[in-house]
Amino acid sequence: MTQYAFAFDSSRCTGCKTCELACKDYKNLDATVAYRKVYDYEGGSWDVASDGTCKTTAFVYHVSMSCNHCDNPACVRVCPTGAMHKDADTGLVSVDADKCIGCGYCHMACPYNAPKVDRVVGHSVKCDGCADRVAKGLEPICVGACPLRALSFGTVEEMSALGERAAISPLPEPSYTNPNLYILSNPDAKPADSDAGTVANPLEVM
Amino acid sequence: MGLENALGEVTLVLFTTLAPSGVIACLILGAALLSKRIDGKHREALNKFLSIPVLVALVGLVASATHLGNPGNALYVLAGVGRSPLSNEVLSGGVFFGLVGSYWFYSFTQTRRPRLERAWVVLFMVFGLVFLCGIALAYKVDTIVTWDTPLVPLNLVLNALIGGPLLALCTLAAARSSCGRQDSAPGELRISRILVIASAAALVANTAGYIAQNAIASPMSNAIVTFEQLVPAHPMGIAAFAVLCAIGIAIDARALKQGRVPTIPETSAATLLALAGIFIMRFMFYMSHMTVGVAY
Repeated sequence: MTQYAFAFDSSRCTGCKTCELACKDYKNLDATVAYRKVYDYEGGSWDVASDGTCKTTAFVYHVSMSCNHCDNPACVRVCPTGAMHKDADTGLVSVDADKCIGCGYCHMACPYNAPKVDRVVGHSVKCDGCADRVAKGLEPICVGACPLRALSFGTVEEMSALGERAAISPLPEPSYTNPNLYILSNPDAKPADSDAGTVANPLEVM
Repeated sequence: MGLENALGEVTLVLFTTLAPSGVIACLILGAALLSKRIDGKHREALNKFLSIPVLVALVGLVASATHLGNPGNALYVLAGVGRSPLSNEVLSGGVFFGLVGSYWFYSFTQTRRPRLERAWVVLFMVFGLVFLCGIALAYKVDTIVTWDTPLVPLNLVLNALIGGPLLALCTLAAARSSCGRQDSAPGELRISRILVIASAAALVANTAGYIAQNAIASPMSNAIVTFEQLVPAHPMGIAAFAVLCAIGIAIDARALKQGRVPTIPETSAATLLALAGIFIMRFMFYMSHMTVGVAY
């Protein structure tokens, strides 16, 4: 089996959200659904010293993320019907709409905010890693669309050479699900368990 | 901020309010049916009115099914038994309702087979317990930080131990009335007292459990939201829950203090008040959904 993975260079990403929009366009998603989201993570402050000088700890960086097609996906673990499944050949996680009951348990369990129940179609929907494009030897649409070349896609061996397994804020510790997302960090990046910042654009990502 | 989540899952709020108490009431009635001290007429009435707790639990189950996006695929739920907590819950619930429902239908037959009936009762009681555990553990997932505490399943079981005895008293009152008796059968007063005391003890434990859960969950946050933003009125909810349940229990206790078993209106009011209190805390449970990552 080939396990596919994403890599993300957080020192390059400007938070432009072209990846998100390219995905929405390619997958024909409405305004309420986005498979890839860009999290703006901000924190710190400006402090005035006794001599009147200012010092800053302020920071901001962006994390572009869709489904991480985890090795131990929480959504697959809890899915009662087996509709949420990991492909044996590619390791990509997707929904079998013919089995899904739309209970939303996958949405509740995923710490990466990936699956969502689309009430119009009556089942869970999520990023499938553009499995149809990958099968043709193409890269996922978000990867090709990134103007900064901050996103990469390939085998887990190739992607793990580009960064560390996702362990920067606002993401959780990777040990929960072992995500197949590898991140090249940036100088401002905070570790996964940090509470130094918050997601500044919750309405865009929730 | 958690309000939208809870409103979206309100049918699950209803299910987890009604089904656990319904199951415990079925267990209490089952225990009464196993007693050899109950006469034929009383047994017949208990069999008949077993339908009350079964219906209460069933209303919850039917309500929960309405939140499914595609109930047509429901049979696939069996595929996850052993792996998915939700599948375990659904299977144990299906077996419980099958057993208790078929027992109820069978109890209308003219020919009595006491051994078979007792075995049937024991079976539905066992699967009732399994179902209750299934509901309590349905959301035990390590990625949902606010729900993955030992207090969450404990509080759900304690909910059932508050509402179940009160619902059982309501059912006993209905059975008594159908027998044409105003007074209580021998030992019924004592059993009613035990049920009210059990419910009151569960209320004390459950209130403590909710206070402890509040203490554990209040500092919790992820990069998007804090527990206090999700459920800003959690302490108020605990207070409302305690007061509503206490008033419910007091209504039944007042009748017992007067040396009589509570009437149908009294037991109905007591049950409804307790279930209303439990509903508030179940609603807040769904409001409190927060993952270890970037979702709530």
